[in-house]
Order: sequence, then C-alpha cells, then structure tokens
Amino acid sequence: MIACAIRFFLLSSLLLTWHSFCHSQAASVALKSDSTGWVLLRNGEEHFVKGAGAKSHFGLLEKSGANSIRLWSTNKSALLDSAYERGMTVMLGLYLRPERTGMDYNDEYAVEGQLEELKQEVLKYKDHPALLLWGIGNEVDLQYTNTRVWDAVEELATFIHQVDPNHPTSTVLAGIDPAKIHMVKTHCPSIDVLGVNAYGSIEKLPLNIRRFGWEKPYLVTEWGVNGPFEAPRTAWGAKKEPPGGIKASTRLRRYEEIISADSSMCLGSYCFLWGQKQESTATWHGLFLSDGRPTDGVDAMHKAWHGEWPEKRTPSIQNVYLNDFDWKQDHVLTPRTEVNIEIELDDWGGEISLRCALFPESTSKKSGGDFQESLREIPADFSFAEDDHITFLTPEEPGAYRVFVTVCRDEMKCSSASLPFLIKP
Amino acid sequence: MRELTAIGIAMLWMGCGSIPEVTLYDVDLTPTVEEQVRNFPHRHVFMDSDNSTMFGVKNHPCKRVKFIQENSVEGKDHISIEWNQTDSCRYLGIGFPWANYAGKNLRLIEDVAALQFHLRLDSGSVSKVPMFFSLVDYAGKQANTKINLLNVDGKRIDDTWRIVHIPLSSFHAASKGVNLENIKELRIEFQRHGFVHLDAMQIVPFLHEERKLTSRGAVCRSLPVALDENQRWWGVGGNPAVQWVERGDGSSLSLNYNRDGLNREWNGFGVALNDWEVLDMSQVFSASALTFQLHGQWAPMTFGIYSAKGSPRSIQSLLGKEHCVQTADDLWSCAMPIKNFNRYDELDWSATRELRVTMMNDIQTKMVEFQWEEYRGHPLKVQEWIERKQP
Repeated sequence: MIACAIRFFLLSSLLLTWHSFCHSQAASVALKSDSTGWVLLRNGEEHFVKGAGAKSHFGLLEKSGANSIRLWSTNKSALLDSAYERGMTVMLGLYLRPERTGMDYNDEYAVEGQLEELKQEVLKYKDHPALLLWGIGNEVDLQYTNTRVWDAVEELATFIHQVDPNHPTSTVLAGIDPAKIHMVKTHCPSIDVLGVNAYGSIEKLPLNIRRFGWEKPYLVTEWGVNGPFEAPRTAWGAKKEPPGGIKASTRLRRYEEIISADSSMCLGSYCFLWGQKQESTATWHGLFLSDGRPTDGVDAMHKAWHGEWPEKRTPSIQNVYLNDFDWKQDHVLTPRTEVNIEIELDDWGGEISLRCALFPESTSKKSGGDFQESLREIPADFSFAEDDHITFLTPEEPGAYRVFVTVCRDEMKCSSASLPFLIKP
Repeated sequence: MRELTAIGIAMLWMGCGSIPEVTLYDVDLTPTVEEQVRNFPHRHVFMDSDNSTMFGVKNHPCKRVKFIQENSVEGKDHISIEWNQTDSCRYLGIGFPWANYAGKNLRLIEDVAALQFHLRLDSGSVSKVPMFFSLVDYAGKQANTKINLLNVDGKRIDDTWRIVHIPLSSFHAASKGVNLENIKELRIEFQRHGFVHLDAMQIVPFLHEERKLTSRGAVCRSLPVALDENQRWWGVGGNPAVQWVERGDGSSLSLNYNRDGLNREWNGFGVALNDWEVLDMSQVFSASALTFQLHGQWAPMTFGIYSAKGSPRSIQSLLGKEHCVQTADDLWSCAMPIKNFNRYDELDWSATRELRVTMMNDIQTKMVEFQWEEYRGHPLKVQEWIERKQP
C-alpha cells in the first residue's frame, strides 16, 4: 500500500514536472508601448523581427542575421522545430479560406467548421517555444466583398486570448486602405498587431498606416520588390521584371529607409521569399533560384540584417539588353533571327559563369500569390562570347517568350535577369 | 321490446355523435425523411472491395491504396490510403462510380441526406485531412466539398474510427451547374500528404440546417446622399489639413493644405458611403453628380470613387474650373457629374464603397454642402446646370 502510494507520488511529481517543463518552454511574448512607440518583448527582451517567409535554407537564413520565419499555415508545422533548433521565432499562420477561393462567410456551417479546425490548431501549437505570434488569415481581404470574414478573424483572436496569454494576435492584409483599417479596428478589437503585405505600396506604408487611423503596432509580413501585379507591361501584356541587381538594391533601400526607419510603430518584417516560387516568372520574388542557389537578394538581406555585406559577394546583374535595348523596352522579334544579349554586371570576384534559358511567357491569371504551375524550358542554342555577349536564334513559332540570364560566382551564388519578347512573323 | 329498440336507437344516435369525422384522405402519405432516404435504391457507396466499384486504386510512389481486413467496420475489408503529393503526381484521387455506374438521382434527397463514412488516421490526430469530395455528373461537371469538423463524431480525427457526415446539400451542386439527377460518381481527391482508413460509405438520412446570413450591403435607391459628419470619414480630424468646422447651419470641411508644409503628404481624405460596407448605386449613378460649395479659395482636387469589386477598382476625375460657377467673392458652386469620370461605365457600381478626395495644390477653403445628388444635365455643360439651380 505504502509502496503504491510512493509510486503514485513519484509518478504525479514526474507528470507535474514534465507539465511545468512543457509550459516553461513557451516563450512569453508581449507588446509594450511608451513615448517612443511600440516594441515586441520576448521573454522580456526586445525582439525586432528580422524575418523571412521561409520553408528551407535555414542555415543561410540564420547566417544572414534573421531571427524569425513566417509560416502561412500549420500545414508544415515541423518547420516550427526547425526554426527553434536555430534559435529563430515563428509567426504562425492560421489559414482562413479567402472569399476569392469560394469560401462563403455568410454560410455559418462552413465558417464554424473552419473555426473549429483552427481552434484545435491553436491548442496544438500554443506552447511551442518558437511561437512568436499568430497570423490569423492571410490576405482574406484580397478581392473580397463580404466583411463577415472579420467576425471570423475576431472569433479566433478572442479564443487565442482566452487560451494563450503568451502570444499576440495579428491578421495579415493585402495592402491597406481606409476601409480595411476601419474593419479591423471595429470588428477585430482582439487583434494586437496588424500584418501588412506590401510590395510597391510599401513606399507609403508608414504614412498610410497613420493616415488611415491604425493606432496599434504593425509588422510588414511580406515585402520585397514590386510584385508582378504592379509591374509595367509590354504591349502584349508580359510583365517587365527588373534585373537581380536592381531588385537587390530595392530590397536593401526599402529595409533601411522604410522598415527599420519606422521604429515607433513597425515591429519588424518578413521578407518575401526566402526560397523560390513561380509567380509570373520563376525568379520574381524568390531569393533563391529553382535549383536552390542563393541570389544577390540574399546578400542584400545580409546587409540589411547585419549592417554589413557578406564576405564573398554575389555578382549582380544591373541591366540586361536585347539587341541594345534594355529590359524596360518592348522587344518584338522575327522568327529564326540571331539576336544579342548583353548584361551589365557588378562583379565581386570569383569565377563567373553564365547560363541562359528560354521559356514560354506565363499566361497565369492567378492572384494573391496563389499557386502557379512552373513552366517548361524550351530548347534553344545560346552562344557565349568571351566579352559576356550572348547570341541565340529566336524560335520559329510566333508567340510570347521570355529569356533568362543567370550569372553565378563559383557556381554557388547567382544573379538573374529575364527579358520578355514577342515573335511576330 | 319497443323500449329496447328505443334505447338502442338512442345509444346509436349518441354514439354517432361522438365518433370523429374521418375522410379517406386525412392519412399523411408523405414519406418521412427516413423513408425518403431508405427508399433511395443506391445507398451503398463502398461497403467492401467485393461489393463496390472503385477506380484510382493503382499504386504508385505518390499513392498507395490497400484493402485491409483487420479492424473493418462493414464487410470483409476497408480502404487504406497513404499519399504524398510531389511535383510528379499533381492529381491524387480515388473514385466510386457506385451502383455500377448507374446515373443516380440525388435531387430528391439532397436536403435530407448525407454521405456517411467511417474515417480514422493510421496514427496521431489532426484537425483536418487534405481530402476533398466531389460529386461528378454524367456531363463531367463536379461539385466539391470537404469534411467539416462539426460533422465529425467527437469533432476529432484520430486513430479511432470516427463517423463523418457530409451533407449532400453542402456540395452546392446547383450553383456549380452539376446535375444532381444524374450523378455518375463520387471522387475523393487528396493533397499534400496523409494516411487514412475509410470504410462503410453510404447515403444516410441527415438533416442539415443551412444557416445563411444576409449580406451587409445596402442599395441606394434615391438621391441625394449627404456627405456630412454623419458618415464615416478618414483623413479628417487627425489630419491637420482637413478638419470639421461648425457653421451656423451645420458643419463643413475646412481644407487648409500647404504642399511645402510639414504635413505635405496628408493631402487626402475620404468618406465611406455605407459604413465601409458596399453600397449598390447601380440604379442611380448614371444621372448623378457630386456637388458642393467652396467658401474661400478654388483649387483643383481629384475625386475618386472606389468599388469593392471588378476592374477598374476606382475611377477619377479632376475638379476643373468648368465644374464650378463663381456666385460671389470667394464663393464657388461646383458639380462633378459622374459621367465626367474616366471609365465611369466600367466601374462595378453594385459594390461602391468609398469616395476619396486628393488636394493637388495649396488650398485654404471650406467645403460646404457636400452631397451626391441627382444631375439632369449635359455632362459637359456643368455650369449651365449649376446656374439653372441658382435661386
């Protein structure tokens, strides 16, 4: 009997210790405001978010000076552990289905079912030590008309405050306007931090946050270069993508002059995208090529987060020309014609290699970062002269194409540029 | 004998009086919900591999389908499916052309029945499984839905058998153009990765209450709409360049903007037309104008009208001198007909949301009696219309 009581006592103590251990692992994250503005405190220490939307390349992310990653949903929850192993925090997304994908926020059955799922996810991950804050929905406001989605956001935010006092709540908007700010302010009082995905619109974000009346802190939850949806187009509708070097310097300027400059309301940012994805082109948003090699954009983020450039810098394409006309021009060519490509390169040493590839122009009409299929490369013969001149024969088939140029240092770090062109008979 | 006969007749009389009238047609012959579904001849979708038709059971690196006898709910076995979606296998699915490819008429039971099945994970627990259910008709059209946790036994999906119901009405077949009277098959599509067991799929009676809320939008059926302090504004008050000021007959907007001043970027303000919800102005927009008076300086301003839907999302027009008549010193009466806005006929007026004003130059004035009113005049002869209106 006594032995049994001792065993019970030991077991209870063990369970209690394990329980306390689990809970002590959850970081306590809080918001503090004083006369200088808002700060995010993690376990009592200031945590300015130097983050990226990332699912891989965590080693380089850590080396580049990042301290946080953003996940859009709980589908890849193992990444919480990966982040934790590297001492990084996570903004964890709770995926609320946007109206544009067919979700009807007037349908209470569908809404309540979705909320029930997400509440279970909250309970599952609330004590993870890497968790920094919750991101309730991503761009649910994009092309939406039913404002009841904000009631769903609020219900989740309220639930989170009930069960998880350790982590602030946020919701992520696809850019801001007065209507969205009003909706979040009035319908979602339990939202602590506003997340804003801002590409071209980041230029006026700090101003508009204030003009439209947001008074709590904000995070720039996606940012980078102007998105394809904002890009100038050719006469046939192809989007003009700036060369890698221009994109890298745009990223650095935006970080230094906008994000880190707004110390009173901005809690930090998550750059987009620490990885690769097809969005109009394979190179638009990604800081990595599709084969996993980092680009000059990674160097720019290293400079942004560390304050200094990496030791071995990536070559950086500043301009690209097709028959002497640069990337900003429309290029209309005839079939089976030899054309020249030339690049302007910032070369930081190492062995430089050059590669070109031809693709059909993307015809995807997807929006909001929704999934787009990768395109298939078209076989083409490129000739490389020693002075970085490239020649190739245009395709025979009329249509819209895009040629990609990639320059790499020691085959390790690369910069890319793409030029759309039209073949007319 | 006579007495007995009289008593008998009296009793018969009284008895007849107490018997309720019954007609032949008072019996309710309408089938109950239970009966409607039980009478449906093709209830069983999958009971076991011997008695069910399936496709998509071929195994490949992305998907493994097995029929397992142990721990089955119905029949001799159940389905186990493990999948891992990669770039090389975009579509992962299985199908049930149940009742041997017969065209099934689910129309009559759509609101009173559900697809019921037993589901369990191989291990662990999740709040959702990336599997989607489609009803496909003989024209190839399909309506999709997914598991709603509200209709999962215990609101959990784990390694014990859970009964799941998917109401047939939740497929919303009609809105997707699917002919529920001629359903060919049920398909299940899988995404990402997972490992589940499925068994005993059948159509069962199920009352699913559709709870649809109504839209929060409003319809504007008549003008004018006053653009005053009662509406929701942004950029006014907190913005040093734009303030409400009281006048004897109400309030007006005081515009005091300096392009070279400290607040040079605070050059905009706006008003929500329906508390930031959409306002359907499609009945009134074409014969309407924004009208106001300027007490003080005249200066060009851009007016933008924003819609929540369609393309373009906004239209603009620049206030020019041709939109105004000077009625006294420092007093201007202005009108901006909607037909003067570029691409006004392309805006989705059913979802109008906001009116926005941007000050282009330095200005010191008061904007008075700002409203959206009926305009019955030539869009290019605004001054004539204003003069006609003058008392």
